[in-house]
Amino acid sequence: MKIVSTILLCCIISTYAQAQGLDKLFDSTTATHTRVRDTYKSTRIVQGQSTEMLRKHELDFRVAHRFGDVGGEFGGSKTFFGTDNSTDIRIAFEYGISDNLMVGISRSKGGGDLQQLYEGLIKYRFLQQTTDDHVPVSLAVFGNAVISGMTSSTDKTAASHFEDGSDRLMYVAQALVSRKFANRLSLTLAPTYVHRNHVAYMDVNNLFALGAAGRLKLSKRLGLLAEYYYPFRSQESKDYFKATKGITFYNPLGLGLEIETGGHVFSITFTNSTSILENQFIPETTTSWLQGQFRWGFNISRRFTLFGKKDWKK
Amino acid sequence: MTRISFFLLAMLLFAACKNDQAPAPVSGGVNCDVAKITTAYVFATIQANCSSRGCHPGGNSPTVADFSTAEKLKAYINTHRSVFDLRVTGPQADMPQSMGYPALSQGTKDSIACWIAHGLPDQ
Repeated sequence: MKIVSTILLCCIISTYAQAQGLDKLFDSTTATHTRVRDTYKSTRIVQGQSTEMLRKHELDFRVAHRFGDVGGEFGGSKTFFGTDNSTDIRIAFEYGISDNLMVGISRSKGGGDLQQLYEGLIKYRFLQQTTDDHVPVSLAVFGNAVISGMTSSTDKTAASHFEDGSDRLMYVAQALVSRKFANRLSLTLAPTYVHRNHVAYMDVNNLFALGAAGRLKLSKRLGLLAEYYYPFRSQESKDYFKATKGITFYNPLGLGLEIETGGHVFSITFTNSTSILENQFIPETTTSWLQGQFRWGFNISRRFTLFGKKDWKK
Repeated sequence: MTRISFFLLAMLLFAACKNDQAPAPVSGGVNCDVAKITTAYVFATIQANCSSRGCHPGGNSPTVADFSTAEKLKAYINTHRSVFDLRVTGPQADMPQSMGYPALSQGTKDSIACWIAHGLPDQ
């Protein structure tokens, strides 16, 4: 639990380091080392974060939507393959404080135990890959804190029964390591820690997961995305949910197409998870690709440059 | 000022971290072998949690799942038993859909399941 907070603190402390010029210690580029750009088109890959950042003074307005099951009991032609339903919706504003530091706020419907989610996030990039391999990878850290605004359940055994306000909180801390190979292939590793303050009986408060993602560029404006997370949930917890509630946990797997159209980046996604935020889709995915319980969705990103374009045109 | 705000926020988040787990469920306390669950009880529950909130009113979406009367509720269960089990009384039940409304308690779900298992008795 404290690990998450510590990493979040590190993210915030790096803000001060940067403000005082200390981030030059981490500066991976000089006049002789050219930075690798556009490892991904967006700050997100499919569901999770990428090492891409907003530029200084850029505001990113993001909308993400996940529809209902394409197949299975709730999919098929009667719901037009899930488009009649929505499992999660997220609207966010994210802002680049510098080229290597961004913050954001969002509101999500929530597709797990908790709903009506308000999120605050911060991401800092320590290193950026260079073309001459002086720095071989890009490295960033991401953290968020999420609070649920939903009505407390009357069922005291439910995760959504809140004794006090802190029961509504969830956190994520994540390291992101990316490398762009040649001009077509980008790969990312994402060790992730999820902490939820209040969970159902035999669920886990602290969950470590390892994410892997990549992009294969098909053309200048089009890329094929894939993303997979392996949560290290205890066997005891899995067995309990399977035996008592008939719930099986699945590893989130997402596929997508990344399309850049001018100032927009548009992603079409297919995932088995019902949620958008890491706080939920990593620990709470109980739907399976093989049973038709996958859904299509989209991420739309529209960036605006505030305070003039002078800073990032340098 | 910004730095102080960041530090205060970080400290607040740090202090709010805890590991809390809900108590083990006690299977709702319903013993279906002896429980007498009637249509009137279940219909009142459906009214309180669904139709009083504008859901399943009949004559509107969803047209098939019309719970405006006890007879229509029973007719739906008789023709769509598996869907009702899955979405209302099953382990992954998602009704009532959120919109700020709390989920049915395990006891309520068990009572409804018991009523169905007994053949939807009125008395």
